[in-house]
Amino acid sequence: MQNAHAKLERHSIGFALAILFVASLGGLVEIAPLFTIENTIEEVEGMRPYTPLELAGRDIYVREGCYACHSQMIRTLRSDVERYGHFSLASESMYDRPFQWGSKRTGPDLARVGQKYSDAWHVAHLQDPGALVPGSVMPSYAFLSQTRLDPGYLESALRALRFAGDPYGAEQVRDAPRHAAWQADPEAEYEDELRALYGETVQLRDFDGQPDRLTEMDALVSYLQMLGTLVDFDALDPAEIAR
Amino acid sequence: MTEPQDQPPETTGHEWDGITEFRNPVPRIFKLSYVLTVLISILMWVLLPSWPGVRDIWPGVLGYSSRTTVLEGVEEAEALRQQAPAQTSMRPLGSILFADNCAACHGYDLAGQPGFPSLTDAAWLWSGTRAEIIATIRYGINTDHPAARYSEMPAFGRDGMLPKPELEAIAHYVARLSGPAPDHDSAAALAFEDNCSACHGARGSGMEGTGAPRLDDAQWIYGGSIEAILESLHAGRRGVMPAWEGRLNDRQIEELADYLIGVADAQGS
Repeated sequence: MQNAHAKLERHSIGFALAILFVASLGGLVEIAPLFTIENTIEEVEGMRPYTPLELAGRDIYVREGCYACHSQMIRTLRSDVERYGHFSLASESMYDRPFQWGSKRTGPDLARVGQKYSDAWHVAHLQDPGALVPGSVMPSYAFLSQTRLDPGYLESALRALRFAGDPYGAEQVRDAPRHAAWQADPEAEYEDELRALYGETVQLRDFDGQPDRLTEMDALVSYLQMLGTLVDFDALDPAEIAR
Repeated sequence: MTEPQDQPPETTGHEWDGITEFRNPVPRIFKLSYVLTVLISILMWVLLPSWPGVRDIWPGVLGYSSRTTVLEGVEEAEALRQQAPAQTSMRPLGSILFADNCAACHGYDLAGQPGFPSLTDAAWLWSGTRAEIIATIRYGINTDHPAARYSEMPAFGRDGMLPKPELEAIAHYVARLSGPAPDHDSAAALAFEDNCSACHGARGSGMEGTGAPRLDDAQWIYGGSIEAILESLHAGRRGVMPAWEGRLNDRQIEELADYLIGVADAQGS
């Protein structure tokens, strides 16, 4: 035993091979599961890629650093589940690049905040959080209501996501800027067209209380109102979830 | 210490220009714990869900799943709460549920906030009966739920239903409804009768079940200033109460309704 070390040291090729083997273990453990990811993510009903307006809202969420104080990950703990709802599923982040799980909660978890409050509340709260939630340290995002959303970039954003594997069709990529405006249209004139492309869970209305303007507030509120509302939990297969 | 000074310590036998290396092996206890931790990790791989496979993940001999465990824990706690008598520490009144879910809009003191009605007074937009409160919580107001309540204040100004001077006169009349001497003989009172009383009741005395608030009390949802009333008349109002079905279960919704009734009763008496 005491001389095993000495033996190994004196055979340089064998020693190099041994180093290679040990170093490759780390890579193996991290990379190998990626090849089986299809088998380890639950299959659920209802997940769809983001609509252009939601995606713009998500980009604002990332831009403003919301993830620094808000998580989007309901953990498998009873306290989390009782307060925020069903624990987060891996499949719920399948169109997040990158995911917004976060690791710190200065504010509450947002994984299922969608449709918990009204649009008017979200707008009022983003404009002056302290006025609605006493003691809140969240800063004001009132400028979002004044900033017009420039949806032009969404075409290239969707193209990039399509390249990365998200199931956007050619029409969805080409008309992304138009679709963003459709979703925030107070008359919901193109409801059927949007639903045909993105499914029944798309919410169409004026989100920011300014029917004649498409603002960043529209985008962010549409994103918040969608969070956690896609998966059909009645159709969940318990065996699939328990894995 | 027990080693005599005159005996040289054992070396590895290597020598570089007169420099030798002591043989100082890692203490056996460390070596053993290292081997032991490796063995335990292998044991854990076998016992718990670990490796992804081609078809499925390795479920582990114990069949443990944190997800199943937490779901069972939630169910168990819910069963305990169902059995526990109401208003005990196991099953407190809905105040905790209220703080978690409702206070963001209706306020931690239930007194409402601009745009969100107060729940402390005896006036109800829809109805103060338990069944109706439960229905409001469950299906919401102006939501996408098929059973939701629907109520909308028309945009009299924006949609050109009434000219601006008339709206201003009505706004002044409405602002005085809760005062000591409202003027019920003015032209504005007549316009109110024609345009507003179908929902807000004669002389703004309210009409439960329409979702339109009474206007002759001191409570205002959107504010009682002339400007706020004019804004309501101009652009209309369409307050949304989310539907809580699916997010809260039946027991929780009933507890919230009982809590609200209790608060309203305490304020009224």
